Amino acid sequence: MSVVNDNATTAEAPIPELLIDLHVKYIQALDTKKEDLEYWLTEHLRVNGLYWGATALQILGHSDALDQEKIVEYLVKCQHDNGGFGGHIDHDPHILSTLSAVQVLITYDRLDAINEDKVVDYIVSLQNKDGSFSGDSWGETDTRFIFCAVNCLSLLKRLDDKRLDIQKTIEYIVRCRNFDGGFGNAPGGESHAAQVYVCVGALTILGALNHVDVDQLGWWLSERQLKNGGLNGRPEKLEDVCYSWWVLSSLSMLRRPHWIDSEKLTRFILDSQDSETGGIADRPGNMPDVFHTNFGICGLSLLGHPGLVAVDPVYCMPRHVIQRIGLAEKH
Amino acid sequence: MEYEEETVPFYEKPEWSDVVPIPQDDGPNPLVPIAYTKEYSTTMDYFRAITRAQEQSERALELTEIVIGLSPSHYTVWHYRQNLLKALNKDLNKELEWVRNMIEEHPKSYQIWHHRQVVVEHNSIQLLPHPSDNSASLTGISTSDATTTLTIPYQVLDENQKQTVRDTVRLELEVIAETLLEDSKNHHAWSYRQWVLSHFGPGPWWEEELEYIDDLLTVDVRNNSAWNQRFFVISQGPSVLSEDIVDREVAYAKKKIERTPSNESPWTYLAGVLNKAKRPLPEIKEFCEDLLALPRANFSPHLHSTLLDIYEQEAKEQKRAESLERAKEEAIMLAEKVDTIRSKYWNWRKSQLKSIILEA
Repeated sequence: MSVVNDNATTAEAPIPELLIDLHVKYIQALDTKKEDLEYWLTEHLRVNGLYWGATALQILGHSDALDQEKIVEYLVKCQHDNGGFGGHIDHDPHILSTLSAVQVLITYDRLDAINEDKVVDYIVSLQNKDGSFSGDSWGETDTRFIFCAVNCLSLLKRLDDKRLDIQKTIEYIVRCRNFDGGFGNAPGGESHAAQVYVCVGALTILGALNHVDVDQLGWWLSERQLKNGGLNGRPEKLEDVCYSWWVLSSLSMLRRPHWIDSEKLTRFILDSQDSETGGIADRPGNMPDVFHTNFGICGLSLLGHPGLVAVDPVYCMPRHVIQRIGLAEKH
Repeated sequence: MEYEEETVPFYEKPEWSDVVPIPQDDGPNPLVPIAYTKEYSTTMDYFRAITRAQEQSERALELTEIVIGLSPSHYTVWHYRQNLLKALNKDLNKELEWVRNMIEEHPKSYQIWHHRQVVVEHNSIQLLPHPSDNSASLTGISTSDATTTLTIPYQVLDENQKQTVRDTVRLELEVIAETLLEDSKNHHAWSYRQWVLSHFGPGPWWEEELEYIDDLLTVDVRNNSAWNQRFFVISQGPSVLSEDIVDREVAYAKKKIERTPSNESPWTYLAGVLNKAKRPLPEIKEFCEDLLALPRANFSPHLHSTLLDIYEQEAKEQKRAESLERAKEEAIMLAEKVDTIRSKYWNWRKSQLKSIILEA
């Protein structure tokens, strides 16, 4: 179990060590836990899982720990004729898995393996009249899907596609802004740190951050830090390691990451490590998973933790990859 | 679930004997080789066979139910089910009953809530005055404009139709309330609730919603989702935000703050309502200063931060040295005593005060 001690957050206690080698082993082993039914019940998230695992390894400085060639081969099989990627082979295309696939392929510099034009066609087809995007052709809308679309098109340098109405998208995001300065999943939806990340991320990529009241939202985001150092996603909810990413990346885009106590947050993330199996859990003492492992490590990278590769706060990919494709100067 | 109650698995029954299951193809040297548990893997092999053949049959519909029971977030199976419901012309009210049970078991599945919305939207088309309006269809394609679909024009309907709409809305709000009783902050439930209220347009359910929210806040005054819903009703509901309503809401928030001054939500709500109504924050100065006298309020970061906002605004607008001094005191209080974890933020706020120029 974890090295947790609830009272370990006093300034005197030494900051736990980041267990890099154990985390690498944990991610490598994810693929061998097939006797675990839970593994198969998440097969619709397999492509997302690959993105989380691959990104965490990049930030840990162990990009070769997975067989990149096999991953590319697998991702190619997940692309459908309409251009979108499914969450796994035989699963319908969805914008969430499409973004994850593109992120991994760009990280590996292997976009040549897929048909890019078709990916663009697929994403463009998901834009609605009001500017929002659906997650797939079945119609669920959510600001998450706007971010996936904008992010993916930006990575592919295709935001200038004439079939898109970007102004409408910006207007839609602005309609999702709440009285507390945060953003929700739809107009009127309660502010939530992850929805803030996707809205602020999309506005950053689109050069439209002027629509955000930076001080009010920065304040709402820093209010997410609790006494134990961890961050929650909404008022009166429990802290969770993944919000280290959603909150901190948003504060970084707003240029106010110093508004929270970074030492206390670092301690909280490191306390959530599983010192036996590797991996990071949602909070100290719980079971680790690849999602929280990735966002915990990326959070530590944003906090400038030593020994980690720098992560980009907008794209949640290695900063050097974003620099390589020429998008780093935009934000 | 049906699947758990039966002793013979569906694939050993005669009606499935003609189907050749298709195993998962992971290619050579698979990154994710097959080691499913038998129950799950066999079910998925049959599901693949049925979907490849695009079979439209009762047994296919039953199979989707089994797959959903095993893996409710498997979004591909929901798509297939929607096609089947349409192709087989199924009774959608029965479908809604089944979804209600599924929601109870898997209240945090995006797919289940979306499925309910698609079915309800499809059902509600018959309530529109012009049957040719096809704002929703089970193929899902046109449901994508969730925020631009037609709302039901309740006022112009005849009495029978009104009753039908009221019953429909009541049922949906009841199903959602069941979920919120278990988890009062369930994001999916709240999101769907806002869709239901808006989709059925202006009607008596908006006033009733305020009563419902009041009940929730009586049980748990820290329920931020309920506070958000309150703001949604007064700002996006059919009533104009009149001075009377603003007064009522300000009084409501004040009462809740007096009881638990350290609760973030009503403070944010109070400032939000005043801002929406374009009324000045210093309107609540006296209320805040009176609160300082309460021992339980004195350490509320929200009280001090609101006072800081008020004094800062006064110093800017009225150029008063006394207000500026008080603002500084509040910033110091927050940075050093009541909210030390955010001391950097409060010190920044204090430094911002220096830019305020006072006239002699």
